[in-house]
Amino acid sequence: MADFEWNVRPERASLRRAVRHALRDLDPGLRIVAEDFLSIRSRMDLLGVAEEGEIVSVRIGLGTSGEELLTRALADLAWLRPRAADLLKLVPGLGIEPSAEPRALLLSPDFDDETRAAVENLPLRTLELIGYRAYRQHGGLGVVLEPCKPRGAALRSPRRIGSEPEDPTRASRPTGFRTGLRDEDLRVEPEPDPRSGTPSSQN
Amino acid sequence: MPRDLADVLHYFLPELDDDPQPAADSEPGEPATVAARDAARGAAETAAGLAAPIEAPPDEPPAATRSPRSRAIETPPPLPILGIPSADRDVVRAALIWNLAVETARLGGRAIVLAPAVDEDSPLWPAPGTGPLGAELQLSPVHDLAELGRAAKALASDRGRRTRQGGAIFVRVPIQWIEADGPRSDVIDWWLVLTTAHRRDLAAATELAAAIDGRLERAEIGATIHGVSSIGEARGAFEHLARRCRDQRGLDLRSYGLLVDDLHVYRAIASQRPIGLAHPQAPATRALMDVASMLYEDARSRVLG
Repeated sequence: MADFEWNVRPERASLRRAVRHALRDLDPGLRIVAEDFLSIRSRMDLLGVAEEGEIVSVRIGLGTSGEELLTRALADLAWLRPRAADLLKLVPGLGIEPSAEPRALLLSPDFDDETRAAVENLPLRTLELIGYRAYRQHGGLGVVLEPCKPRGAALRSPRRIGSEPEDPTRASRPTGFRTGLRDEDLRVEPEPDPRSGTPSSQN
Repeated sequence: MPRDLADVLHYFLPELDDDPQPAADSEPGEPATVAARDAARGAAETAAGLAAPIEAPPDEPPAATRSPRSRAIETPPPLPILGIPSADRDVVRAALIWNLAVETARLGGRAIVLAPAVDEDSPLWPAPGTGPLGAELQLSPVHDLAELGRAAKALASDRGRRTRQGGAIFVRVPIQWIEADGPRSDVIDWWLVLTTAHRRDLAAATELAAAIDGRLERAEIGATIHGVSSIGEARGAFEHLARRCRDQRGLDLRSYGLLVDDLHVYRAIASQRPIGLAHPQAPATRALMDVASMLYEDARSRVLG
């Protein structure tokens, strides 16, 4: 069986987790603070606070039309806007800036032309479209994110991803293994030699 | 199950614990923190136009402004339960479980280790009760997986009510209880398999993951590779294990990093002192903190989701 598989059909919870991890690379300033939040009638997949203190709704399309995603994201913005100050009062530690306009990220395997055109009517960064492709490797689900480039505007993503999926055989391919450690963290610091007070070569 | 924003905001509310102005409509004897939280939440709901008129039950004081959401905030959900299979005399895994709990407590979470009372006379654990940084050890007189699961759920509900910071119940599950014949159940749905990178242990871990999947419904299984000396070694072992689990059982295994079995681990076991306190700069401590962070984060996600 192949180690790497495109075109998987992920379940929403797994997809949400994979997106959450992929967003760390795509937008390091975005802190996801909650999942599966009820907005007006439907659930935001992820809720985050970005670098400038703006609240960010993340909607992931999974068998959802672009129009539906767009409507829900716009509703999220309207729902979040009057609550920013209250959320700040309730949760000061999150770093919410009440004067910052909320934003929304829409993720979908593809967006149709009408959805793309509709988004261009909004102020820059209010609503961003991000394409995703899910893959499975070594048993783990991952996603490749590709921001949709608005006409006339440069990509703001710190990591630009090509329109074609990355070659899975490349050394930099994603892996399901997770750790926040580096090999240096696993090196044992030499303990002081009690006789001389200098680091011992043992240990 | 979806949750309303107001129902889960208490997970981010430690700052309000110091609010010196409790709400005027708080009940006598109600903790000031809850009153302050309700006041703030009430203000939020009012401003948001969300507050719905709720009829107070007849036996309640005239707290007409309180809504079901405030009650939800007063009764947080149970702590997530993490099952960790371990043999009865496995001192190393027991030490890793206890130290993961201590590191979770260090991160600010409520961490309780639950083990069967059969462990009482063994050298696996420190004395039951509250230990370093508030981490707890509880022994329960249970005799099978179902009883252990019920005890864990009761503990999770009880401790969940007392904490606003999240956390987890770490349950040592005897391996023979998982492998024993019995009906499928859902008593524990979040699992962590600890295995070394040796091929024989990885094969045993695959069998263990399969046994968990066969016995527990909706089980989400993660793995931590311990006893490694490099990240590459741990990565290779995890990928091997994940591939076997997927190919043989169709299981998606989640990675929870790596742990180091250096000399400090064994010293800490011998002295029954947490590694993170005895040797805060040791690689074993760094690795424990890393794994505990992942578990704590996922525990919070599980509650929020």
